[in-house]
Amino acid sequence: MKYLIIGSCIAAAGAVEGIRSIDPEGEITVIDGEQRGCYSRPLISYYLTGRRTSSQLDYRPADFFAQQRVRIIPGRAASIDVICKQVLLQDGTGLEYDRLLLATGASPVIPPIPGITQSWVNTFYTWQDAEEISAQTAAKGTAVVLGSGLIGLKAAEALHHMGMKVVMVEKQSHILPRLLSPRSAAAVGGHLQRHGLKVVTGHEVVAVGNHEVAVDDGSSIAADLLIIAVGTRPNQDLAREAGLQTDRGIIVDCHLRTSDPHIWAAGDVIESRHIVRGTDEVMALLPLAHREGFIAGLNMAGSRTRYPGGIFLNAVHILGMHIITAGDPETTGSILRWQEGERCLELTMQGQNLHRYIAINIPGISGPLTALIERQVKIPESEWFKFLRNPAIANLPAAYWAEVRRWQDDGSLRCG
Amino acid sequence: MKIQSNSEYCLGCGLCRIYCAAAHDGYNGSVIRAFKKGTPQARAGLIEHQQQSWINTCRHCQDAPCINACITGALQKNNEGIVFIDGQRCVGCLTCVMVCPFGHIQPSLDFSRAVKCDLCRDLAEAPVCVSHCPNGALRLIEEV
Amino acid sequence: MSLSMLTPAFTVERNQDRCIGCGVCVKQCGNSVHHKDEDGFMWVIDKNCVGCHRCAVLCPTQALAIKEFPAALRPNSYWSTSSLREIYAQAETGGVLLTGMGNPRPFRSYFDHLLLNASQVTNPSIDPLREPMELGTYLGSQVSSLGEREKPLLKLDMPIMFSAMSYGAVSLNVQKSLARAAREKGTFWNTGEGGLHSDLQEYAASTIVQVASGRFGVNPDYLNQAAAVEIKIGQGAKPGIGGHLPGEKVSADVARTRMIPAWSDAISPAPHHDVYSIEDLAQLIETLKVATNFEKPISVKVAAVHNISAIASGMVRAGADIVAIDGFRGATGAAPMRIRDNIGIPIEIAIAQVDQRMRDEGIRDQASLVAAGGIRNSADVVKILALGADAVYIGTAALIALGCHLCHTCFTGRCNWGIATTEAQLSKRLNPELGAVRAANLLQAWEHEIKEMMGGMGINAVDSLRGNRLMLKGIGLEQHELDLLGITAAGY
Ligand SMILES: Cc1cc2nc3c(=O)[nH]c(=O)nc-3n(C[C@H](O)[C@H](O)[C@H](O)COP(=O)(O)OP(=O)(O)OC[C@H]3O[C@@H](n4cnc5c(N)ncnc54)[C@H](O)[C@@H]3O)c2cc1C
Repeated sequence: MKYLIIGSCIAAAGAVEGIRSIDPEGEITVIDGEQRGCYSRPLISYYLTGRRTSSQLDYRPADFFAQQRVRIIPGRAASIDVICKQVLLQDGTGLEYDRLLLATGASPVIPPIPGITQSWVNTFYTWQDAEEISAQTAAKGTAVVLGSGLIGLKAAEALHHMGMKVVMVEKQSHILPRLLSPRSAAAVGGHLQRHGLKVVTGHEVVAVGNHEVAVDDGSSIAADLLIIAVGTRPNQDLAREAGLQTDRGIIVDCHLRTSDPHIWAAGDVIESRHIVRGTDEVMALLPLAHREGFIAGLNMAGSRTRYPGGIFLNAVHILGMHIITAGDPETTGSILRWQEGERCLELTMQGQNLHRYIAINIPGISGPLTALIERQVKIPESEWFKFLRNPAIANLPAAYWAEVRRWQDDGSLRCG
Repeated sequence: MKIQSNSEYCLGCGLCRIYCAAAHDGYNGSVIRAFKKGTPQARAGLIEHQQQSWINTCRHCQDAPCINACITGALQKNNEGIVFIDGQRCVGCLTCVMVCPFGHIQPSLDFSRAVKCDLCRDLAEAPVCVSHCPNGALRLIEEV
Repeated sequence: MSLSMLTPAFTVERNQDRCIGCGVCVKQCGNSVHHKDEDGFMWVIDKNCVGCHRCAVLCPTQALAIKEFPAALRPNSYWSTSSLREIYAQAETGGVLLTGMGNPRPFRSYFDHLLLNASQVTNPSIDPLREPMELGTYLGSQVSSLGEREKPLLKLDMPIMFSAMSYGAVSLNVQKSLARAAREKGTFWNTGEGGLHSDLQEYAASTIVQVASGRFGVNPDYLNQAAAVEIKIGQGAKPGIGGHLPGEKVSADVARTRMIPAWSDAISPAPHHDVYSIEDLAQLIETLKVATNFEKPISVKVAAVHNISAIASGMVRAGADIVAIDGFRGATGAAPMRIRDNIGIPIEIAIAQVDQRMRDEGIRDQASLVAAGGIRNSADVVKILALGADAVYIGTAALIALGCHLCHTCFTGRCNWGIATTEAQLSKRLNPELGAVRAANLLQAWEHEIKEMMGGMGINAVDSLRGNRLMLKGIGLEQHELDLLGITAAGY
């Protein structure tokens, strides 16, 4: 059996682990587009702050692929010939496969702003980005970060750590718009401001000049570095050109197979089921990428394991503040809140179902809440009121503990 | 391997947590030193609900969500089935805390990393919570 | 009453250099001795301390020491501190003083005035690790006339059984612990008068069931599933008085087992109302034998009182297969203090006298003799066997093995060790899995020691030890005491 994987990061690592858990023999080949092996994208911000050296960005130990008997081919895939079951690399090499996995991830979106393609403008997405930024920040001037999503925030934090003056420009009315409610965003915004980060919300950058950024209110900001972090888009051109079904991301079935029976896809490049919303979404999240990769790997090796889908979930820490949130970012249910100083917890309920939580500086409680959202356990608001008097694991509603017991008894716990 | 907590005989005394805290973070099991001079942290929670109590500790899941979610590869399973955190790799993002359905994994007291039960894998004897439970309510069971 | 003159009995000393404020003591004390404020300040109310040592044993830093409260009254060898305390208590309450466990007063312990023999030169001692040593024994009537069907016997792998302790007086977990240990070690435990809980039916073959004056839980199944039936006439801690389990301890579970309404007082009358004479006893014994198809040995348990040898003789003639005698150190879950501390006679003397009387009357082999009440260790076992007993019952020692610290407050039902209580939150403190191991360990340890002592005497079977008073010498005893025990003084 010949397995071929395009992409070498998170979903790819999951797939290798999945395949090898069933098939120790099959021949696995990985196309490493970045020629950096299996590294973890989120660590690039730690690289900038110096908590990680460039050799410490690995997601798996350096000898991971060798250990798993995986052949690594540096280079980029240019096209897929689904009839001959062959992938052509940019240098013209052809690689045959019996089973193919697309784990091509996503790329940052570059908004169509005049002047945006200058050398002092960078994305913050790859190890190369990080090295380039690191080279440019020696000047210690001002950095403008476009977008205040997770990546923008992590970039801002890193640059702040490196001594730069940071201005964030966010088009939406509040920061982390996909993650936070307006109220919780205000708390985070305040925290950033207190640390000296400037946050401009509700405004767009309309043009990029020479070390100058023009904002839609007519003002302009002089800057030494501009970071673009306005979102990502799945790398699905290969799939689309090969005639696979795609939408906002590659479309897969519940076994993570694409419309071609010999091709699977996993990670940031796919659309997958949001358990709570019931819709298909592009959820570019590392935990999902690994899990999807793993399950796709199992299925490529002959299993028929279902992928139930996932929910949005994020754990972000920024300048000492811990923000954890999970669920449906667009939920419009009733909000229950608890706050004590810098710590707050916000639960959004749709009837008896928890649809989202936002936990700021109270991370310890988050795991069970995530589980309750994923499993849509019904708990009346009154129970949550009691819990919110002192939100701690030990005070979780009795229904949660009953649920835990049930997971254990009926084995429905996906984690054994 | 995992620790099974039998609420029928759990007294809720919390000795498991005390010995656990003293067994980790370099306190070498000295309870007095850990609690008088240090900032010990137990790797297990004590839950008391409706006259029952039990410890909330790691199940060392087969298909562990924490390992799956870890962004650095710090969370691993060794060949004995113990899910542990490689302290060198952990950056304290707390993604594992977010996905543990039992709320078992917790941030360290300074929030710089995640901490969890490692079944005292560095010690020669059984996990200290098991060996110090005064009423045999905790057991180390081999099956996963 | 506004002013209590009772000073605390104990004081709890907390070593602040060791205390880590973990609060284990606070959670473990069912008597509200230990307290912790929101700010972490730890304080104690000495007055509430009963000296059970639960806190001190569980304290992870050994920060607690329980000491006698230093109430230095003017020295008075007649009016002791405790006699004053008892009066203060009665002056406050107007009630009978209640207590638990056995008589603690400093009466002479004959066990401590008996010495065992050992072989030297003239006969060989035996190494129990190399040579067989028989501790097995049979209880019951050993005589059967020609043509009569064989009398039922109880086979013990060692001459030690667990005393009667009823469910209600002790927790179910105590009974589970003892039942398991008894089954494992090939001996018997005794239900006491509270019936046999359904959870314990699996141990029925290792169980002696009691029929007491309240007849609690007695039915044909109860009698027939057991290994033996014991009629309880009296017990050493409170001869002559009945029992009273207050309604609040009669939980649904206790009620079901006792076959009485829940939350009603369970009264055991002082006498059996159908036993006012030896002849009446004979009828009851016969009734039980018929009810069990003559397949179970019938034991009769009495307290050791003044004319015990005559009573025992009558019991044997009434058909008892086993005569169980409970000495004045025998314990209880609740008794009036004056009764416990002032009634009965020592088990050593009772056994010596009864054994002698039965031999003299030629009825020794018609019944076995079981000694109970105050057996503290394996040497006590060997000595009482040499004085004439076939086997012993241990109660206090078994409870100590399970964690009892002899605080004497069983009657409150708030036993911090989960022993003398039926409160779920307290009784769970005794995990029967651990309890069974501890109780079985005790039996095993004593078994080894008994074999060592017997081997030293050159005896290889417990049968040859029974009534072998030549193996005993008295020390520090008066002649009349030596005579009562049927032994000679050390040196003779
Ligand atoms: C700064 C930063 C912080 C983040 N923090 C978090 C976080 O805290 N939590 C979280 O859940 N997620 C986080 N993410 C997102 C997370 O990194 C992604 O979800 C994850 O990397 C997705 O894994 P993947 O394997 O699907 O794709 P990727 O990791 O993107 O890997 C895809 C690989 O395929 C390669 N590739 C693409 N096309 C080709 C081709 N044609 N030929 C060969 N190779 C190709 C790419 O170059 C890339 O190396 C963060 C991302 C960034 C940038």
